[in-house]
Amino acid sequence: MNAGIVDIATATSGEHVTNAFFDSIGLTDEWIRRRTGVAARWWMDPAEPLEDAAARVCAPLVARHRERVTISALIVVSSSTGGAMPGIAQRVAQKAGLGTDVLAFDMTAACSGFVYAMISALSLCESRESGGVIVCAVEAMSRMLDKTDRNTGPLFGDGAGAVLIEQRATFRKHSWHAGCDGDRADLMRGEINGGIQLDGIQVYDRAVRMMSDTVNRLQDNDIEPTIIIGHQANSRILQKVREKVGARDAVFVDCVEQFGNTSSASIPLALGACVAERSIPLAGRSTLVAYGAGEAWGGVAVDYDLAAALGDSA
Amino acid sequence: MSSVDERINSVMLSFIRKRVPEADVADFETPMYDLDMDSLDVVDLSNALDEEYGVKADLDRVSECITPSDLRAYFRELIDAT
Repeated sequence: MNAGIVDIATATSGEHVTNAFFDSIGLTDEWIRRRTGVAARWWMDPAEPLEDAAARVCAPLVARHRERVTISALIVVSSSTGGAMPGIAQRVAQKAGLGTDVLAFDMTAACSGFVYAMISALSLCESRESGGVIVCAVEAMSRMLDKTDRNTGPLFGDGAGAVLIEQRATFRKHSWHAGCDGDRADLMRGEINGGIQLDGIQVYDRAVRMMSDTVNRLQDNDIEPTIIIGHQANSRILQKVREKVGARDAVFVDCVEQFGNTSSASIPLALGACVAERSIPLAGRSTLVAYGAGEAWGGVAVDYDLAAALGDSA
Repeated sequence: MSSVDERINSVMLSFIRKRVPEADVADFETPMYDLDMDSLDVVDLSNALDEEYGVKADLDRVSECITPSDLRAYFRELIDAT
């Protein structure tokens, strides 16, 4: 049976930072909005453990579905754990109430992490007769950010989102496409307390090219999407991708204004916001596409039915 | 003026006028940032010229162009080399 997305939970916490914060480095709200689309972002409390933020979005999925389905795997995606050993997935599983009989591991592919984890989770889920897989993306980009850097300070935000993947008889087969180019690793770099370095011109150009190419490849081989969610890095990038792919009847999602660039968490945060606002059909075909550091890019076309996220069904 | 220059001018003006509707070729010696174009606008313009002439500009070179006239000269080099 084919797998798809059946529930979602998202959360932001900490300080809600508007563009007024950047007046002190000479950047106005109008300047930032025009170049990025960002109006505000959340910056997590620096003392909050990342696994707590991840567990906050995984726990509701576990609570809503544990009586009905065995959740056998958890993939936690993040660019902002600092890379220490061990990772955080096992603690997230424990704090979210998943118990010990679960495959839990960390994954990182920067801004493409959620898409890469989705591709992995769909295969994991379809490899068994039944059971669910949670994909959780959690980011505290503010812990890398030099907030006085005019090039990157206003761009990034924090947040977390998790989806439950499960098989359904009504779901159609998913498809995916991905790629990477390690020669371009210097286009984007960051480390905790070390700032983020970004070649804005090259990244803009590459992001538009690779995301639009990925969407077009998926559309060539697939069912017409109901929604298209690109990595929410910059509204200018999303506008260009939209022009190049021709969204036809699909809802092309842009939530950059609310959250800024939350790296791997941006797609689930955008999906969650759209479901909460009911600005997209609650069921259909999603095309999720990302580009980011590595460089790594990819997309997945997958069915979703998110009535459960609004409590319309269990 | 050659027909190539006229076409380049036309493409460039179509982008510049998105920011400054009254702009004309006489403004091509004005820095692009003073014509209210940001760095992403310049990338979009460069990509449009790439598509128009089947060339691939080096964005590092593009970012060194201060005025529309500089950019036009760079694309003229690329086009002449093909």
